[in-house]
Amino acid sequence: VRRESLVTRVVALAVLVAVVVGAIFLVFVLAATSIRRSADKETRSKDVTVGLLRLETLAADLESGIRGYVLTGQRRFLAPYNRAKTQWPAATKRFRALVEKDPEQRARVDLVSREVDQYFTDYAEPVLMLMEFAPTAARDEASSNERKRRVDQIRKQLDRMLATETVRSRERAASADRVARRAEIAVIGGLVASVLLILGLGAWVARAVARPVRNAADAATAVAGGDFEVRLPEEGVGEVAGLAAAFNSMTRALDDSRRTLIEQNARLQESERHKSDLIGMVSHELRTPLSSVLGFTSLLLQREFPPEERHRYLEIVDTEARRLAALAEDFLDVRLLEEGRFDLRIEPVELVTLVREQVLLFFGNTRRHPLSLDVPTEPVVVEGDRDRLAQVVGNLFSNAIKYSPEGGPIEARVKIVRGRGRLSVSDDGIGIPRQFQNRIFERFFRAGAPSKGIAGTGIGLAVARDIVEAHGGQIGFRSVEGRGSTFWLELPLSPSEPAPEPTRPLSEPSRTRVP
Amino acid sequence: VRERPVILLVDDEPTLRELMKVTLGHGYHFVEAGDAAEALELARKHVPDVMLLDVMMPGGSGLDLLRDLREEPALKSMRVVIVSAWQSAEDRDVALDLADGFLAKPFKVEELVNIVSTLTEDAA
Repeated sequence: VRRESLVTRVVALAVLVAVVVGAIFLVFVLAATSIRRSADKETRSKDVTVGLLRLETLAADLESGIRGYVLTGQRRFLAPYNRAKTQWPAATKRFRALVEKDPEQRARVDLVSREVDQYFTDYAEPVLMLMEFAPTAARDEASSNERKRRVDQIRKQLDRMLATETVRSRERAASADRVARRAEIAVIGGLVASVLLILGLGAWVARAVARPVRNAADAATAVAGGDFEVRLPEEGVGEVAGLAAAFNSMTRALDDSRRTLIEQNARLQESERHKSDLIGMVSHELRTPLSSVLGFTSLLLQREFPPEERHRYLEIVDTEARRLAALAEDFLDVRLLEEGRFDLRIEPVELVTLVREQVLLFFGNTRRHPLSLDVPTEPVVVEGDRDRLAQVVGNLFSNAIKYSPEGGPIEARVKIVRGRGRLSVSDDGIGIPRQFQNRIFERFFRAGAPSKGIAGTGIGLAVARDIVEAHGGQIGFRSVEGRGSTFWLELPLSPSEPAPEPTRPLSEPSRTRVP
Repeated sequence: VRERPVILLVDDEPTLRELMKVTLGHGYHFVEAGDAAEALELARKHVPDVMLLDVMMPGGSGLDLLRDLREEPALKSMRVVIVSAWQSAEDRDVALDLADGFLAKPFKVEELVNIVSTLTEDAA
């Protein structure tokens, strides 16, 4: 899903706010213009009214001047008439300019002008001429109904114009009021809208940005406190969701590496324990024969014993010293294996004889472990290093005894299987727990034996496997915990069987180097 | 009253039991056990004056055996010397807590003679 970016959204919202605020100002400016225009019109209406009153005054001056002169015959009463007559054209012109855009008023002013002109030509001038030679006739004329009618008409016309202008002025004031009220509403509405919009923008930013950021901060604090399980919801606008996703992948990675570290640490601790057990075991294995050697030699040096006893103790010292030597050999073997130097003296070896020798060595004087030996009548001659093979067979027997601490029968069987010599050694001992079975040939691995008080170094089987594999053979086992184990090995038969190979005399055994 | 103090030798190595026997000589009566179960049985049967106890034996730790024996009121007077080739630090603490003496293998014959004679004389 393509997510809209936070920047895009914020910019879009800012643009929206700017547009709304701009629109409000535009409305405000338009309203101000409209109010000013209304005010201008009102001013002009007043000018028009003033102009009309001026025209009315002039018209009244014309009439009263003529009447005064005609009735009194005195010339001085004619002054208002003369002044009004000279001022009338200019006043009319000015007024016409005022009502230029008002056809109705213009038409009326034209009508008034015509009537005033007619008043001059048809009445005022003839009356003034008549006064020169027939003042009585002029006086009759001046008080005639015709003259009154004309003047009234002019007055009426001017009054009508005044009334119209008053109505106009009222209308304009009302319209200006309406515009002002509308502008007021628009400005208030715009202000409310922009306040709401800005509040909305703030709320949205808070929801879309501030809250996820706070959540991320809380989660980061939790992570700092060691909680690597914490996850952020991967939702919201682009950058926010991106932050959550990045945060989650960070905590996942942290969690993974912490788990790896914990596992590594557990393995290290296990190997540490392993090492400590090994040191303890080696020390135990060395100290036990060493105790006998040192103890009996100091007894022999300090005390007198009858010859048979003396002999017996010397034999013990000899056996235990050999045990120490064998132990040293084991460690040497490990070193040789580790360094990749492991020499075999290959020669034909009769397996049945070799097994019988080891049986005598291990089962000669024990009744705890009755041994049954099952061997074929014909010799089983394999290719191998006699001493090394004896070491392996001895190891299998010693394990069978060691891991049957309660005693119990042990069964050894030699036979030829698929062209190979096979030896199997079975016991009814403690067996090997399933979880340790794949590590049983590992060097120094002891499968929980130390906790059962079974001594050993964890070297025997590792060396046995290396020796058997160096012979091109195989070694393996079956075991059920609590029921016992069967270890077996298979070695290639000698091709020269039954006689030794003629090209390889016994006196000069061939040497094979094993990596 | 016994003629000679009774010593229970517990070790899975017969040669070490023989060494202890020869070292301590004819002044004691010896009872021998090759594992923990046998030792428990013999201890109950003979109520020895001193037990020389190996820690690491097949079939059960000597320390577990010692804990069991200390529970038995009949064996309260029995003195125990741990004779061990190796044990962990915790094992050593337990050994020193429960036992009356400690001998590390390989031990000197004089040390064995001294510790056993001291414990038997104390008891006498």
